[in-house]
Amino acid sequence: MSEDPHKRGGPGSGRGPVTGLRLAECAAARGLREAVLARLEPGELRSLAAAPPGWTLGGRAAAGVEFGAGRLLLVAGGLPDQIRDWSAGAPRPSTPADTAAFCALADALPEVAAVAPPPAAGDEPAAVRRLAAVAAAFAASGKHILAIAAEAAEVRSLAAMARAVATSVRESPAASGDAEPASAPAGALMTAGVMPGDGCREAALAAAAEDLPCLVAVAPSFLAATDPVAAAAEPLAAAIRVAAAVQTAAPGAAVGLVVPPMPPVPRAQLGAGGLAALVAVAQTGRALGLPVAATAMAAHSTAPDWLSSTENTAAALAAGMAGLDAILGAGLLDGGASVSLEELATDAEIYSYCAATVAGFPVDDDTLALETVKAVGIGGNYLGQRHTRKNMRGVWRTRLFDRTPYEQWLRDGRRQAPELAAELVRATLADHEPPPLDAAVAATLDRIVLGKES
Amino acid sequence: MSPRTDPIAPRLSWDVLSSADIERVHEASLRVLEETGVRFPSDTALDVLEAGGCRVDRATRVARLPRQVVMACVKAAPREYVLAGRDPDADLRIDQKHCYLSNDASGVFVLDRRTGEKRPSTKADVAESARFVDALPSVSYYWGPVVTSRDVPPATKSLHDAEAVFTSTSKHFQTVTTVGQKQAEYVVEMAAAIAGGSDELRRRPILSFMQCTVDPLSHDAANLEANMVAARHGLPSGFMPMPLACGTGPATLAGTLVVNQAEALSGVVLLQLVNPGAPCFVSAAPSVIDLKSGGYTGGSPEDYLLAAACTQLAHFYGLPIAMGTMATGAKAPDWQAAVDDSFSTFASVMTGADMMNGCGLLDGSKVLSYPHLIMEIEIYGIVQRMAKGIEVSDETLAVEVIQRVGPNGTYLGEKHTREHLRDIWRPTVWDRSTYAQWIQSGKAGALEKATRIADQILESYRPEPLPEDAAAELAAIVARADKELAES
Repeated sequence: MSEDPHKRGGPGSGRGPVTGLRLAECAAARGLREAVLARLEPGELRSLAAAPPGWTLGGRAAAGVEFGAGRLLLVAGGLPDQIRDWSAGAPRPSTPADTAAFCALADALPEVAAVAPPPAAGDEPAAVRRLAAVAAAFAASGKHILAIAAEAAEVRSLAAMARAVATSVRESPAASGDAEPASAPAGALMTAGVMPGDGCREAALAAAAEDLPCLVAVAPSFLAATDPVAAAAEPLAAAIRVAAAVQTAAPGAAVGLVVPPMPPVPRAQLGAGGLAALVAVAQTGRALGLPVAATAMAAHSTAPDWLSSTENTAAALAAGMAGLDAILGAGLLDGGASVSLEELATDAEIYSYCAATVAGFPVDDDTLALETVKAVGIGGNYLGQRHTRKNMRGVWRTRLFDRTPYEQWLRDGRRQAPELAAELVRATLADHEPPPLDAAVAATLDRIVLGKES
Repeated sequence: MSPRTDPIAPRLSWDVLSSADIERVHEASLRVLEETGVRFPSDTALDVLEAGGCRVDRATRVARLPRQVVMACVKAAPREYVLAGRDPDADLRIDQKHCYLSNDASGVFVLDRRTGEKRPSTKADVAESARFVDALPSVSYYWGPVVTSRDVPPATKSLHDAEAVFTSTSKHFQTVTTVGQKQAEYVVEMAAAIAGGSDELRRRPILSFMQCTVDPLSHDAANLEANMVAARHGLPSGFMPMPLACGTGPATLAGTLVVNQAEALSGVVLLQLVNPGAPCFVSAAPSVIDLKSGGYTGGSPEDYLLAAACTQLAHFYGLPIAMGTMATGAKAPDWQAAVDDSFSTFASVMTGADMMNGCGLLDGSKVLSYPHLIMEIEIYGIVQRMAKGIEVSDETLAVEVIQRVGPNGTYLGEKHTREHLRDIWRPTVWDRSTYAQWIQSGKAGALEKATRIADQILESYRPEPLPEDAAAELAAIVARADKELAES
């Protein structure tokens, strides 16, 4: 599993970004949109018109993936600084090696479009640990980085890191339009995700000033409300106001919305109503021309099990069919409080399953296959048909589903998805070599993390 | 008293085919029916089809079905009818607006709840499973049996199955193991004995029939005979194609859809020619071959796309549909089962499948597990809530409440919250405890909770009993059939 993540699967393989079918706009989205519009000034709405519909998620060693182009992307990771090894049970504080392993796995999994690197635990301030995680992610992954920040200064450090890495990434002459390849723009390698809070507006403006695409967080507490849709109006309007401020300051700057994980409050977790609210938020954001990502995964389970599966399957389906542009949180457990490599592997499989389902299928002369149906006739079989050989690679293939006979499954020790995922993680990390990062660039990143260079 | 059934009336919908796609599949299916035809290995069926205007080749037993005959039969089929329960509160209104879940069917093993190991199923298991389904509103009718009686004479297995079901549930029974004319006549006699005679059974059909086709483009003689008996008695019936893309259907999903449609519509034609206006339905459980083993996948994205498309096509014809739903290939109620069951239920519900068959079996519809069935009902509940969508009105927008609570307030004490609290979906087996609580509980997960619930039902639930005289009559019919059919 290497090279371009979104060319590996190919058309119909179910391994690429989700596109295609959509549920009809839900009535709640219309209601929420009206409630949000009532909270915005006419000038804010006018400025939003300059916002681009999306941007390219490039990487230092990965082809660009279009974000906001009607496709659902998968983003691995988040902010937890504890990890669950499936075989160990209880969570433990993450180490820098865990961050590197998580990012390397995300780099190897073709379903993952971008990495939000989980920080290691430690005594340093959270912002420093987040920057260190980004440095580790640049070293362990060639994919686009979603870097989460709370304040403008942090965003400026992130931009410096992206610029440092960009110096080692050359655009092709054709892409740059020059005879000599030019450095990639920093914004091609990184998107800043700014957290809700006092620093949100300034951080978003800083991202625009630094030419970094920016996702403005919608405070997620609405997901725990009795009526999540009604409760979403105010935080959604607040985030849109920030996006409008960005457009006023820098018309055309790449900006979108993100729903971060809800704080893991006991007994107030994302259920079916919360999913419906996410659908409404996604459709409202899209209606205003802003791409929307949301932490639709981040299972509340403690393992990649039946519970995490039902949670994330429902979330992926709702997200895919509602028009959300990216699912965040792949690889998170405990409601977003822990990361898990095995969970990342199973979440990628769910996403892949969802991609193949939501992509639909074409109906044309070739796919209706009337000549083949006539040739096979009654009681025949299609295995030897040329039409079958030509099209069979379009069938979705599993990495983690067990389809062996029952007796063989018993003989093999009743292995289930977590065991298979653990095997996949081990094999992937053993085989996968992340594209090397220039040593001088890595040193520069370290200096920025330590505050010795800006 | 809790309701006997709990259907889903979806407000959200998912269209996997465009109108143009539907027209193309429809035209292609009619061409296959008219030019290639379908094999009906039953003289009675061929007689009926020939008399109805189909071109019949007696040597090959293939009938070619002209489009005008097909469409006339589709038009003759009723759009709405009732699948009655012995208990009228368990009636199902098949109206293309409600989705009813059944259990899965035709398994041959049970995961023994004492040993945890699988063992062959028995007649006692059939009775126990029917009693179990009777207790659960989410499972609106009994399809099957969920596992078959493997400890009775093979020739009368379906009658023993029916006796066990009829005595253990007052919900509607749709048989899938009754094959052959004689067995079907006996099972109808049993149902009539309960209903109060043939006319009353026709008026309130507590029994319906489903048969599988033989893919591609063929039927089984005994299955045809049984469904023709059902149609003659005015009982609802239908045929379930199960084409496997790459094996018994083309590798492209549109092509497999054509094979599925041709088989399903050929069944409708036969049933309507036997008894015009008899209630009938189409059915489908299409899948794709597992390219690694050549076997049945027991769940894949292609399954759900095909399921969704089949439901759209059925409703295009105005016909009810029974859709293969859940039926995971997983060996245990695990991560894989949850992915399969969630996607499958979502596809069936969001496209409005009238009947969804069904829950309870593992390993590609072979092994019954009661805890698994309870966990699948949880998934059904989640999809049910999602399918309801979100109501937007002055009351639900709650602007006044929001303004009163204001920034940083809480809604917990609000009257509006109290009034709407119960609208919120609540889990049965999902774990929402804190980590510490979860440790304290002995790390009880969904399976442990589901096992407790299942054990409680099995140990304590008692269904409304069948009147003694009816039960005795059933026993007498089965004894008579044992004597006649086992010796023939």
